[in-house]
Amino acid sequence: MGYCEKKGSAVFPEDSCRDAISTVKEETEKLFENYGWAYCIECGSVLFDRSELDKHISLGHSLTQKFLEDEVATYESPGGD
Amino acid sequence: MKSLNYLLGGPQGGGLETSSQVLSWAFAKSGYGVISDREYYSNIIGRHSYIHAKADSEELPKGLQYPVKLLGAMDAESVFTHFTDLDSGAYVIYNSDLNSTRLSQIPSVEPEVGEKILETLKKLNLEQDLGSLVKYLKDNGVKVVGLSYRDLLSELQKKTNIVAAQASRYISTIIIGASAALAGIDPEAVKYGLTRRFRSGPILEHNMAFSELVAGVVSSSFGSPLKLDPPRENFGKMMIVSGNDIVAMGKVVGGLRMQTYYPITPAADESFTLEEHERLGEAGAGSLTVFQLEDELAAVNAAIGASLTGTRVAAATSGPGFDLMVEGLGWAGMNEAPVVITYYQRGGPSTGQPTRGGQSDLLSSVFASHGEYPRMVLASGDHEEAFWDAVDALNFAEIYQIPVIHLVDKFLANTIRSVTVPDLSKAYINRGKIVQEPGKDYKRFSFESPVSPRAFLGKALVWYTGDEHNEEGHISEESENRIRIMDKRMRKLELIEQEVPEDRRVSIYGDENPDVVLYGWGFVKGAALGAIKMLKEEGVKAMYVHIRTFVPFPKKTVESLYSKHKDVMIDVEHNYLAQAAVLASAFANVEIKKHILKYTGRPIYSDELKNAVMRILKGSEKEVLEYGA
Amino acid sequence: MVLELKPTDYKSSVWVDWCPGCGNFGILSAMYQAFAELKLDPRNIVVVSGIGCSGKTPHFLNVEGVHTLHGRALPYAEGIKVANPELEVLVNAGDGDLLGIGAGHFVALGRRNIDMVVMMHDNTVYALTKGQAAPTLERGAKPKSLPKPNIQDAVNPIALAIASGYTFVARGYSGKVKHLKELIKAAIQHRGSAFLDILQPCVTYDNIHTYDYYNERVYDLQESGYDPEVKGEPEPKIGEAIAKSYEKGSKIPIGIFYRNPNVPTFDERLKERIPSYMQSPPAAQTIDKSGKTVISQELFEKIFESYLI
Repeated sequence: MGYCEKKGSAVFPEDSCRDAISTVKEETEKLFENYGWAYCIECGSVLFDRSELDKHISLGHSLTQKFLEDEVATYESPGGD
Repeated sequence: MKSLNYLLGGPQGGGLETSSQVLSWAFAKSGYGVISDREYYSNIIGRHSYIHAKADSEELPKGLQYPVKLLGAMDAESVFTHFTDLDSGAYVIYNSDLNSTRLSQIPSVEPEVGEKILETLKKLNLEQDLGSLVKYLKDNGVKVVGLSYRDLLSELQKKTNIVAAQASRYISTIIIGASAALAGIDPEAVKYGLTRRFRSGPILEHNMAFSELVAGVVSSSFGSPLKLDPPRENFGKMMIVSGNDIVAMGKVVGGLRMQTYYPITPAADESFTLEEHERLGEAGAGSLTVFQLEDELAAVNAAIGASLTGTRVAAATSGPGFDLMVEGLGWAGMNEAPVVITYYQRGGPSTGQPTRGGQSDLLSSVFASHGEYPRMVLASGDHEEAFWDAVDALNFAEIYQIPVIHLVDKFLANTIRSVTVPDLSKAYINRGKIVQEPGKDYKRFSFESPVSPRAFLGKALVWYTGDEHNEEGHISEESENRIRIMDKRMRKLELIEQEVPEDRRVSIYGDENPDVVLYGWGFVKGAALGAIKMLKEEGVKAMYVHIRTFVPFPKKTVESLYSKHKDVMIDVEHNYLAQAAVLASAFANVEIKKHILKYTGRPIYSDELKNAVMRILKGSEKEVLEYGA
Repeated sequence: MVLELKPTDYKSSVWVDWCPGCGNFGILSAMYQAFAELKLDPRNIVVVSGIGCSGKTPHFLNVEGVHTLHGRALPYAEGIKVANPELEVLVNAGDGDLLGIGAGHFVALGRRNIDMVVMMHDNTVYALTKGQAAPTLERGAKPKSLPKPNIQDAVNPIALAIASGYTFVARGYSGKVKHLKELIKAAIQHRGSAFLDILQPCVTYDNIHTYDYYNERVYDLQESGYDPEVKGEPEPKIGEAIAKSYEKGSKIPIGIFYRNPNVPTFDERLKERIPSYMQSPPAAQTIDKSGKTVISQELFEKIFESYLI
């Protein structure tokens, strides 16, 4: 699934045109410069190094610096200290 | 006379300390043993303070006793407060200008103290004025040395250019001159004492001249009736020190290079002594950094931080401060960080009796903690023990990588004694297991033995944490690791039990086949040794079992003594709960059933201890002592 | 030997178990980068922490790590630094740690100007105990973790640090890692007590102070032309810096508020008293000669001469 700027909406692979390109890599890299880290959802760990980042990108892992608000954390997480 | 028990009294800040110091130095210079205990209020200037002392021709005294043969009173309150402490035929130096002073006119007398004195005066059918009391004393065999302090001081003013306001400072010199005359102290020795106190210049000259003048007046009327026999033996090279001072000295010898503290009575003087001598020898012997922090939380934790760098470090405190330090000690226990806490006990709980003594923090120092970790608890009974315990505490802390608590009580801390200069050829330093060049696979908390080799911060990558951790020092909550590392730490207790001999932990004095066995610790020692002698005169053979190390407890020795003497064992302590007896029951198969306890904040005196022992021998189970103003 | 280490060489093998997206990630990243750029020997850096989420920081670093008690990170760090001034000492502690339970220590360090860096993880909540209000949370705010709005006022960390005597006072934001890295480097290079207030979103418990919240508001003081340097008497700059520190709401300043290189550091003060202190600090001293004390009988009697009869 991706976002088509021309259509202005989300599209599924079967609807996408031939010119579609992934911008995930560029965005991740840009944010990486700003934040100094990226989070690999597959591995459940934080990456601090550019070469590590490239490795996870090449493996097709989902990387992010953005998190949706976790509404259940306050109920689900125990106190820890 | 073999010994002289004396008491000097006056308002706090009024020169009492000077009088006592000069007399102590003078007695010591003449070759006598001296001991003096200062009893004072939590107040800077004005309240009643006194020094209870003894000079001895036969030994270096460790304990104090009543009654006294000499009372040097700087003011009327001192006579009212202490006339009941006088021996028959005792001498009282007092200010005859104050004869018309009435007890109720003295604002510094604490209400409860005033009521007690008034009651005594009523029983004796006496008026409230000092003159009536003095007349009563004279009629009852007390020799009264009444001096007009005003006249003496105006004579001083005439001879010097001292103004009236300054002249009152010289009341302490009246006490010195008059006491020295009665005790027949060599004038050269008095000069020596004054020179040590005032160094040089006009103040020294005035003091010398004034002391001589007063001595002349007194000896011409009274002679030297309290003169001591010549000293029986040469005690060797001597020094005069407080308990605070000698702990500081032990720490310097024991390699202490950093001390942290927050001001608290009666511990702070030790840190001052250290700071005063912070440069040590510098060349070759290094220096010592005294670090005053913002509270005891900071003091203990800064000490532990310093310990991680390989510095021998200690913190000195008293009860309220120790309570704040407890969390930090747990961190030290968890992280196997050597640290020494010198714990000066005073009367508690809460602020309690800040300037009075006690031994009520024993259970706290043995058990205070959440969670379990190994520690050692040493307790000193006299100045000599305090010196060597200070050295040992630093060694034990590093050998076993544990917190060591060195218990001292206020009595010892503030008691000034003449002692022989310690023989440093016996002072050893054992830094325990240290790795200087740790390899790449170095683990700070290696499971190989209870005590893992230590690498200091800066030498190898190490991690420390207050959380439970693995061999590397990283957090681990895994249960098998938890068992292994808890066992590793706690097994130090077995190691210490094996390596520290019982005779380091307990000393036995007195008769080997006793009629009565006293069991005590700390400052009880001096009173007990004195009481043993007095009991002998009454035909009672006594032994004193002195506990010097509570963790690890000298179980075998105490059990063996108990098995032989259980019916005549008496616990003697300065607390309410009989804490050392509680520990004997906790750590050994022993139940001491008879108790002599004192928790007034004043020390146990040899004479009252002897009397209490006699009452116990006649069937009493428990004696609570209360002597001393 | 000049060390050529990469930022990741300062990373330990311990899994970073902060919540995904934690504001601490940026702080850790900036520390790796700052250490590498300054070419610091890992064995010469001591990172001291308190407890809570920020307390775990030393475990994620391949440098000397001392994870201490709640509120007491500063005393540990001070003991380490005074005993061994050769070590580069940094403190990572939370806002609760430094301004709540340990506020007395925070003030006292400023009075000493001990040469170390204090990094405050400022996320407005006590995260590891489920998000209670920290001393940096403003009155009336109700992050989702709180059952009721906060009724206590927030302390101003920058103003408090300046009033306490810190000689380098700055604010960073964990979402601007390069800027933060430069602040950490400057703080390490500063001689004296350096304080960094680091804005850091708690992604789990604080739905107010998010990355977006800060991204919209922060601006760089130095880019705006503010000069933090004390030249001459410090008072005018103190006034200016404290006034800046009260800017909040739609514009939050980050960068250096105050820098005063003219106050003697604690080691300089100690050296005044003990001339050999720097060459031979407590940790570097030899205290025994093959098991015997270095204090000879003669030296003992010299040191304590005033007690001898």
